[in-house]
Amino acid sequence: MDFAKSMVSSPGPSSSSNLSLVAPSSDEDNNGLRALNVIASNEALMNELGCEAKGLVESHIPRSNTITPSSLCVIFASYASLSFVYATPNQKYSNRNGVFHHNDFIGKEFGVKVPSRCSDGFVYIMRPTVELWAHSLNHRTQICHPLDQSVVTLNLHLKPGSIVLESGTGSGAMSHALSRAVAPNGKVWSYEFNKVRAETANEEFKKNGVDNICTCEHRDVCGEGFGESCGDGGADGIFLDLPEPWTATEHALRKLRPDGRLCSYSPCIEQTQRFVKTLSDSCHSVTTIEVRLKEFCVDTLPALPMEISMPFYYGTEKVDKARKDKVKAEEERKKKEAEEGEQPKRKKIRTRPAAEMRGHTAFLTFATKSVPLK
Amino acid sequence: MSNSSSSLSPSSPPSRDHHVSEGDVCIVDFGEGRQYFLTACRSGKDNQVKLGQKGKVYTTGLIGLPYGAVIEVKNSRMVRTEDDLITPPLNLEDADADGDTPSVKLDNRNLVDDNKSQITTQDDIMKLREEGKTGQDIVTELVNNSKSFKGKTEFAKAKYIKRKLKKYLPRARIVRCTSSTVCDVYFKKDAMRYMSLRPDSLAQIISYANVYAGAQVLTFDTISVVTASLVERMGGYGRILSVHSSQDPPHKEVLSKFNFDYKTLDVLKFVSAFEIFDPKSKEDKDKDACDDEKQKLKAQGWPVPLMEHTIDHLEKDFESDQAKHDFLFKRASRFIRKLCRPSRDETLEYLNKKSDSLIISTKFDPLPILLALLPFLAPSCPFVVFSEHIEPLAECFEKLKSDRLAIQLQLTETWNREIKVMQNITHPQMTMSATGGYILTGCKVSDQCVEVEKKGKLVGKGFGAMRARGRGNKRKLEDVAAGGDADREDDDAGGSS
Repeated sequence: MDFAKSMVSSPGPSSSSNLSLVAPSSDEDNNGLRALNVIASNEALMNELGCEAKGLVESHIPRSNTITPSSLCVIFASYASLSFVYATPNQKYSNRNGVFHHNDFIGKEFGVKVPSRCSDGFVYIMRPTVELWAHSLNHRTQICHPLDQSVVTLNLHLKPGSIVLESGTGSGAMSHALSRAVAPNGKVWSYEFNKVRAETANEEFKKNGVDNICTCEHRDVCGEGFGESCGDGGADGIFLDLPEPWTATEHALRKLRPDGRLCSYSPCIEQTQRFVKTLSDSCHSVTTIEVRLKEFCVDTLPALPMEISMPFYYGTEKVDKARKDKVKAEEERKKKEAEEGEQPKRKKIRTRPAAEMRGHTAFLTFATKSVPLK
Repeated sequence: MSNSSSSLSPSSPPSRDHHVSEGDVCIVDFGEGRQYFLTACRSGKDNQVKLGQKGKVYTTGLIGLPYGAVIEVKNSRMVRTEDDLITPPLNLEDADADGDTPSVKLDNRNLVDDNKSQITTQDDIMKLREEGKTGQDIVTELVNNSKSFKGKTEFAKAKYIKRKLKKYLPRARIVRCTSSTVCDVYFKKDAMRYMSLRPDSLAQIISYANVYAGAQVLTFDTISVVTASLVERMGGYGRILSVHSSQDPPHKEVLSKFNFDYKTLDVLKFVSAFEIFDPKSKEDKDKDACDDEKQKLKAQGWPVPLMEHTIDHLEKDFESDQAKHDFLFKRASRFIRKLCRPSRDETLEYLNKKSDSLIISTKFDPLPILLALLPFLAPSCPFVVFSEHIEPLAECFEKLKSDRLAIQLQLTETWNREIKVMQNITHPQMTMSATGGYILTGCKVSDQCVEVEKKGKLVGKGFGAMRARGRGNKRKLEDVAAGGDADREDDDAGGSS
């Protein structure tokens, strides 16, 4: 995925303007100017400003625009029906929309619509993002959905450079989300007690190009702890998605730095209750939340045809007059529109909640590790 | 307790990361939504703040304390407490005389709600305060003098003590300013002003827009918290093109809360909507080219010579060399910032490179903004539109769907409930936030077209051919593909027969 690629540095816009931060020494008897020059040549101050003497350097990751062999492609068949392939020449992919030849989209740009060769079906080939990946990946376990992923990432206070521990890896959806938040110089250590799942996850990280940020290890953290990943007190955030999170609390708190954030993801309230009990002394600001996504559908409702006028129930003079005025105004509007050759707008845009929603995923418990006393 | 400077021991300098440094903004959280942004400084206008009944308080004491520490206000100073607990334990004299298992079941059957169970009067409390008793002593007094206290259950007792302590011994926790904590403060303080942007909505905006360090993000944001969070998430890599319609670059106030260093903040590039999208601005530019004075000012490089009046100001108005130095330093950084600001052509170049994501969170009607900015988003890249109203998003949804500009469209609202987890009495909070705003997400599609050799028996002209074959005649295929369609159950995009 793009976020794990290496940075390209280029001189910033300052290089093109006439900015030389090291000022020439001045012989003028001008206190102010001299003071200014002192600042400009003062390295510490310049560092404070973040500028190097030569001008600013910008780093960014170039976007992969075209589909090349072996690049991960998310295949969009229809809403919420996504899958993925690694583009391979001469390969075919088939779903119920038809058969699609990889050769048809290799070399094209991401986001392209590819028709099937043998039917009228089509698919879109999308660049992978963490969210599309979560929708398309093979579920080896129950996955952490994008909504929960995003809430956890924000509430663990992650930013580039953070070190995160995660257990268990499961299908790796969460690992990708965490990796994106801590890239390019952070690190995600993920632990999985199922050997096959751990191996598959590592292979997947490699194929998706996130292995430089995220590493999965086969280990049962409840019994064995978090290993040699980072020193004690070295982790900025820890995410636990375990059947018995309370057994891992002690290990987790050892690895967590003071004021670091801990999150546990448990589907059942009993798990949460037991977990919270183990936190009491060493953590503060313990909160448990649940979040749900409520989807809306957008419909366009046809308005009543203009020719039919609804029967009018009120006979009072005032209302009648208002009605007459309205009819008159309507006629004038129609006349005007007919002159301008415009069709009257008949459709109204309306929303309604989707018929079904995910009622529950998990209780998210967040806590902050207490700082040691003086 | 010793005075605050003792916590700044010279032998172990506080690391910048986990301690409050001088000049840092931090949140001081008294609980129940009473959160304040305070700047830790030794002097200046931010040194003194007014905190409710406590009156003026100096913020000097915050310097050097670790984030997460608990403080107390004593004699207008903030000092760290010895036990680091928001609710410290009380030494109750005869508490639990009958042991852990009460002989009678405790409940409200004997409660007489006549407001006479507390025999301590307001005057008594005033007297205790004058005697210099601590808040802990006062609460202990209150508990001992309460007739109904002993009849309460353990939970009710704890609740009573907590409530009284909050009043007589207000303690606060120092919280680091991060996007989630800052957003939380704003949401609790004045949700309307920040367009009901709840932290979980902010989390989704950042995630769904696929924001990562090194990306180029195009935004039109009037909430400011969104932009500041993006800056935090980019960590100094990549570029944020912040389109604004105001005279001056916006977001200053919120950005100042995050203690960003210059390099981190440098990812933020402001794009004036008028400069880029208004054809008139080009004429203005030509006009400017003729204006000699303006050109001269523009061409000014570094170092900028000081004007006469500035030299006067420097000589007369400053008492110490440090103040003079600070003034010049600020001036220098202002110039550097100005010189580093990308020109119109450079901005256009960035825009034309196309961005990796697009975020619109504005009080204005988002549809025209979305349609204007969508061409600058690279194909297959995600966009997010946030609004506190659903109607504008529905219009955007309809437009994107009918013009086949995007797929995987999703219009959502988030439901967020906090749960009070305690042994045996776990329950959801009695009140919860009803809305955190609406979010529209989707992925832009390419307008490139792939042509393939058709092998099937039925060679359709375009994808509309499907309609003639019965199964798809209810609606156009692409309608289904765009998502959010009427019947999702029966949802096969280009399903062949």
